[in-house]
Amino acid sequence: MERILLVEPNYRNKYPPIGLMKISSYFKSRNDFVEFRKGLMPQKQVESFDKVFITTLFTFDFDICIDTIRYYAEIIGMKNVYVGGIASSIMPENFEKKIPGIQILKGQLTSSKMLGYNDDINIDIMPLDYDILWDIDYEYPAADSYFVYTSRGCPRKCSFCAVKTLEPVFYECKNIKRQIEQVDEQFGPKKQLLIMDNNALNSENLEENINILVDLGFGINNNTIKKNNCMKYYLQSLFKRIEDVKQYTYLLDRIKKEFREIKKTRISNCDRKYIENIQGMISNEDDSTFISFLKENQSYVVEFYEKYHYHKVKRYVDFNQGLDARLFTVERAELLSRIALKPCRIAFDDIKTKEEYFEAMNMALEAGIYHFSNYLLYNFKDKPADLWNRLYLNVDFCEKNPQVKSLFSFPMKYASIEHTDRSYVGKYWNKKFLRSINIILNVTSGVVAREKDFFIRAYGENEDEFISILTMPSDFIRYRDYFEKNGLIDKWKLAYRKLSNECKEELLTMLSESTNEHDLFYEKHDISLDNVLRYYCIQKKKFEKNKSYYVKTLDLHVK
Amino acid sequence: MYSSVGAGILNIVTESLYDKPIVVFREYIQNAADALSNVPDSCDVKELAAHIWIENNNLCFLDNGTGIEEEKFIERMTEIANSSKVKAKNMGYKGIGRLSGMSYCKKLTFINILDYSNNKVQVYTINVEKYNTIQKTDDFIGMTIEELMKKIGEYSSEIDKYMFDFLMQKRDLFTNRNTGFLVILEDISSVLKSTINDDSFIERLSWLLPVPFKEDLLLHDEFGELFASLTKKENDNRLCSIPARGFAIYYQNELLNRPIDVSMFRALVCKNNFGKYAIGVNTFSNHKIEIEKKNNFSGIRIYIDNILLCDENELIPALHNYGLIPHGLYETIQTVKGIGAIIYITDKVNISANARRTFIEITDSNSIEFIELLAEFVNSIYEARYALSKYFNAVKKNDDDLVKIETLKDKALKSLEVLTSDEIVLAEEVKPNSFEEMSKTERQRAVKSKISQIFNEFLKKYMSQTEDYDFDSCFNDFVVWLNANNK
Repeated sequence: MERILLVEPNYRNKYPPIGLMKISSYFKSRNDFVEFRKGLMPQKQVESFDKVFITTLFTFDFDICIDTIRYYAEIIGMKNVYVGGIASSIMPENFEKKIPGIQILKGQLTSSKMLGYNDDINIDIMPLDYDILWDIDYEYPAADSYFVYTSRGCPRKCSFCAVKTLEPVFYECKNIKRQIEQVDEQFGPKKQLLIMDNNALNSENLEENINILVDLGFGINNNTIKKNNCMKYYLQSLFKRIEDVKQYTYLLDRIKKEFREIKKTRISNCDRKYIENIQGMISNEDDSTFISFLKENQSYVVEFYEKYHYHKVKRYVDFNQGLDARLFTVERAELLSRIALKPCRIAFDDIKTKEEYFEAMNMALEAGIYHFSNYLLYNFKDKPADLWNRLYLNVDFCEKNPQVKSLFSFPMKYASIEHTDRSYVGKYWNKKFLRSINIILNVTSGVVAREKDFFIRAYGENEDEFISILTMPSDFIRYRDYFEKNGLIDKWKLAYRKLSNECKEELLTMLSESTNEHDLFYEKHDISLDNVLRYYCIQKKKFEKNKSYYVKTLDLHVK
Repeated sequence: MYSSVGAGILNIVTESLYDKPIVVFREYIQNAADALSNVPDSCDVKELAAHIWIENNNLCFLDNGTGIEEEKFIERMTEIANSSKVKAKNMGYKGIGRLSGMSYCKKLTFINILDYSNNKVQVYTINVEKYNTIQKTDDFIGMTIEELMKKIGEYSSEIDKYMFDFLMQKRDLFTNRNTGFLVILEDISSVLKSTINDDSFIERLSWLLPVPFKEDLLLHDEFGELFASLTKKENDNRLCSIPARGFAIYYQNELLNRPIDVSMFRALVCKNNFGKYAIGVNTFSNHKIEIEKKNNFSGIRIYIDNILLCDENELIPALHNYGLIPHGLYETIQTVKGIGAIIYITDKVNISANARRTFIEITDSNSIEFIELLAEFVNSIYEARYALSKYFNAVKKNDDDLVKIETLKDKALKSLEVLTSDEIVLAEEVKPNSFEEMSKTERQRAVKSKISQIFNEFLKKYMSQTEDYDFDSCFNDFVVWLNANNK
């Protein structure tokens, strides 16, 4: 029996490490001991493992990946450390340069031979082992989901996309039913179905896949299920861990949390007494007493939660990577409308694909799909005005089609895969604009909603106004209402409009090059920028402390 | 005219305007200084002095100035807010200061020395205890100030032995002088006593009163001329008064001087103008603007007639209230404490103190212009503090970006230039190549600081990469990580 440690560097991410979950299933099928960690594990514990598998994700998290790999290699030797995942597959040379001798598992793990095992198992199609997520404290926001593939690869070779490197060949998986059923058997039903295909519409088996999804309870009319009884699976895992002498601290914490969060108004008097006893035990007794109790009363606890989670939940299908507008047809739209698709994500990466995008939207709408979302790539070859137009066209589409129930736009900033940080700036963009976009998006958690009046307020009435908003002092963007009410935004606008085009360019250059725009006014600058630069000194916090100082200074200056 | 004024005015004057015990010293010395200033030029200045002393719980103020004209004495003593002094010429001109002692004693006596050698005096006594009793009665309501003064004040042309003894104690003052004025606060209150008994009292008094600079300072090779220039009227006609006119003021027979000496100066000592309204001297570092704990020449003190009007604790909140300070109140106060500055108001026609003498009267465009200049000065100190810090941090970190260094240097110089008209040179000693020239202790300190900085950066990075700790071996785990990532 080998002892296998799976590691994800301690970056923040939404989705659990699917690759490691598959590797876990492979090793567990061999009866090996598997444990998962996020970040670094203390040296003494690491020493007890034979092999460490480290995943990597975004290229901009390169540094933390390098540090993590080196740490584990220092303890158990480079030959026992395996690195895989997206970042190391996209830029293996960078990793090799930093860590000579590193073992990188590029692309998909289609055979266990890649790990030196002769059983030749396709690890890539192994079920996901959700149990490893209970080894750690970190909560993945999207953990309560199925992650399935109906196909891998993509026939398109878009220059901004890494799929052509990661999954160079397009093929059908044909095991979607099995993927979902395995999860149900081992961990109970999940709430969302995330279909991770890069180009699902390219599949020849779309109809078959849709039928399977409908049969599995993801159809437009059969997507209601009883809430999963997690406790059942928690307890199974807990007792298995105790048997295998595996750490269970975080899992036990989850179990305790479940008990603590019980709403007593929802349970019978008889159960209440019992639950209060358990809650008292959690607070006052040691873990071994609590675990013994759980062992003795496992069936009661599971039954209790079965009753407690009596309510039903609706679950939805999400083609998480977006659908290719150019591959939409009336037939395909009708097929999609048969499943509980929410939202229908369609990529709108380039303004040039406007017609295809709206044709697809119309087809979907005609077919009865009313929840939409899109991905809008920016900071690539596009211009800022293109982003405004794409956002506006979506808002306008909603206005013209009131049957649309929701439409969220997700502007996605392009980060070049050659960069190991997030510093890439597209040809027509600059750092100031990128910062400003971030500020605007932060207000709405990264999405742009359908309401036109809100959109116009946040992004401007036209492209010029959008550029003007992006150029505004950061705090003016962040606290628009506040600075509009006190008239400072109008004053800034007046000063900005008076600038010649050359001066506007000069201003943008200064703002882009500066890491702290509040100080710019005090640095060397063209005198003609004086009028507008002084507004960049203003920070809301300081302004609130002494409004009259700023208002007075600015008034004097404006006069 | 005053008969129409109610007796309650006395309460406002004594309790509201003079709520800090130390102001008693300011008020009586101000009157003394005015009397000394009125002595004809033919008299030898060296013979003019004011004495403050405390004896048997009585506080005395004596000067050998001109005193009050005999026929005007009673009128002066019984009137309120009807001074004959001229605003531009005299220090006090509101005619209320002499009553400031009422809150702090049981009896207040004024002795106008008309002819010292012949014991010719005029005495006016205010019975404060009686005043306190009347104040509580119903009769007080509706009583005019004239009626009140008749009840609590008493005039006499003779002095008792007790007062005579007081005068005799300081007979040296009257060797060549024959007039003067004595104020006695009898049986002073515990509040005033505790102020006097405070360890820092003489230091406070020396900053407050119109005392001269120390002789050593005025004779100093480098700075003597600068400080001496403040004690003379400049040729500029716009200036109405001598900025730092000092008087020989003794406390318990010790001559008081402004407590400034050369050891308190930071790297630069500069003179600066506040338009036509004031002139100042300030000292600041060309390296770091930070508080020097044992240096009392810190913060900003504003003087009018060489008497302390306010310091940064009153100035900054006032500027803040007028909307002239962009940064936080506390932070700005702390910042200005990093320099030492004295500002002398010289244009007494346009700028005057408020009734409480805690700040200037803001009444017209001149006073507004003046406080704007003060705010500009305060804001410059703030800017300088951060500009210096940014520049020297960049130099210390050996930043390779020369353009950035130059920009920061430029900004630092610019910010300091606002504090002075002199040419500024930034400190050199912190440049990194000076390590070889450092002493052993300095090297240790520099090395310790560098290691600690790097260590902290690594530790921060390490902590962000792990959430799984073993308390017993945590340091070892960190070292493993450090080794792995620093080969």
